[in-house]
Amino acid sequence: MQIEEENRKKVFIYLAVGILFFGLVRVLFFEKKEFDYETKTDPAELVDISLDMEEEFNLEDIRITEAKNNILEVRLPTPTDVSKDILMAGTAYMLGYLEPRVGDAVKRIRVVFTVNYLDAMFIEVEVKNIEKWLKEKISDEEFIEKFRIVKFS
Amino acid sequence: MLRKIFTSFLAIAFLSAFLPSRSFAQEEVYYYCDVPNSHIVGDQCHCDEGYISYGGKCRTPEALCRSFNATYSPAIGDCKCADGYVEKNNYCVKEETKAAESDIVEKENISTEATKEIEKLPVKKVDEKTTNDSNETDELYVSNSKSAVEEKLEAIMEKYYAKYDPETQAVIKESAAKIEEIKDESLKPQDDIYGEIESDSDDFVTIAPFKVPIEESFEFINKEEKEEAEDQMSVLADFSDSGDEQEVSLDGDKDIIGEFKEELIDYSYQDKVKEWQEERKNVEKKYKLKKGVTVTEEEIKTEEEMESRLKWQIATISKAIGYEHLRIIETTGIVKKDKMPQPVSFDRMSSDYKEHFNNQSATDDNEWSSQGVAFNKSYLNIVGMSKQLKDLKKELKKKYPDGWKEKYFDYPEKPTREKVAKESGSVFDTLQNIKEKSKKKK
Repeated sequence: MQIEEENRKKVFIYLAVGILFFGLVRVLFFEKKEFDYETKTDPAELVDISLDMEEEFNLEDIRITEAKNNILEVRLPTPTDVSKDILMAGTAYMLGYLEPRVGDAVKRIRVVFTVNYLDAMFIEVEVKNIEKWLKEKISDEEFIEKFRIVKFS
Repeated sequence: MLRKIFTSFLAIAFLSAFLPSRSFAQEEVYYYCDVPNSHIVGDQCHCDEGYISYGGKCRTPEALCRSFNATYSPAIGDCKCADGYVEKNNYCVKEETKAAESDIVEKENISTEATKEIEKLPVKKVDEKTTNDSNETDELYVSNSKSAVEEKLEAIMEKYYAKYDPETQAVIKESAAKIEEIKDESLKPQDDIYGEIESDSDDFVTIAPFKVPIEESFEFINKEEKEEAEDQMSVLADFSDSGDEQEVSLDGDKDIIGEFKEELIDYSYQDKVKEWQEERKNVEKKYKLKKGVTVTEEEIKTEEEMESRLKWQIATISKAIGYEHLRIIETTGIVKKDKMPQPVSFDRMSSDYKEHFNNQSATDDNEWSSQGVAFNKSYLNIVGMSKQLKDLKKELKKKYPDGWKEKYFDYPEKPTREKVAKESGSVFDTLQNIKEKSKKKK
């Protein structure tokens, strides 16, 4: 009788441990899934950055979104009356501004110039190169050489 | 025996723990909506586009307004009493009766807002295992009533909607339903359509959709806008014509980037920004209010929610514009230098996008040039949504004048770069000035 009683106690203890374990595993591994979105950067934070940029650079209609492969796309209207060097310098300046503000998940930043809201040209570079440039580990020339430029003809 | 039962239980518990929790609901049970003109989103029933939920039914605004003896006014997005009628207890009555009724509330419009709290649409639950159509209605009822903040946001959206021209209103009305449906898409990064285009400094890639749709879009804009767009195009043409070399120089001895770095960049900025961001997070946690500002916790929460909802609305519209842009690229195709256009594969689009935007496939080579209708539609959607985006950003800035940041919180000062000369216009104008100054020096 006593052995049976002890067995029952044991069973209850195991049962309690099992339930606890079951609950813990679910909480730790699966409940989080509900929040496991694909985006690396909070979309609301991107809105903040776009507003900051509009203020900082005195520009309008900046739209920032995240693209797959950890790319941050920054769209802005093409400026008028500027030469190639100014456009490149402005882009470099923006990249330098964005680098400290974006999270570690962003690997590339793509600055897209638009006309009539449509993509017209873009310049993109890896974030690690911006970092190197800001810390003066690479020269301006080396930095510009890292640019990937896609343009129309 | 008990030990066996216990062991089996543990095994089941262990196995079930490693199955995603959502799979139970998704695999065994699904829901459907019994109310005509409604559809299911997640586990909630929503009225179809163009219908309003009222009294457990989905009705057109016109029909709903008729039941109040009123007419639907698209301009205000609400019911309106006819001339000579006033609203009394959510019903339009002749003005003469007003004198006889002392308790009449004088109000020109009947608001459907007042009726929203009773919106409950039944959701039916079906056990997949017993696939025969069960008629039992689950007690799961979904309330479509909106929170005060949601209503406030809607009011803001309606305020701007009222000021747009009828064409823009039509576009926005159509987009609004799509935006609502793709809200969850805001949490997904968009397809990187340009990622596969390889380029190096010797061989720049030319993409047809960059030029073709822009020129096509000129049909939709007025003379002034067209002039500006042409100026922008000439900047880009100069950029493209100036050769493949990426070197940016300023009369040889000092390059413009070096020049502006010297004038504009505060090298300690990076560290300051990181410090500021860290401190900002702490302030958020502490709920540190500005000196002299007394607000209740509820007010703070409402303001926070409002700000956050505005941002999410902006983020979602941004995402929807991106989808429309992908659609435009799809209609034109991608070309590499000296090569024929390659239509963009439709399968790159997410299934949700495909469904909601109801596109045609562009995989047939002959189709890519004849998709003018899809192009026009997507372009107009982009313009309409961009107007909305601009206004919502304005609203955010207006509401939170110290930036879209915080009205109530005592946030740490954002580090500023002392040397930024904003008075000269945009960043490009500033750089142009630096260039001019530098030339003069020489």
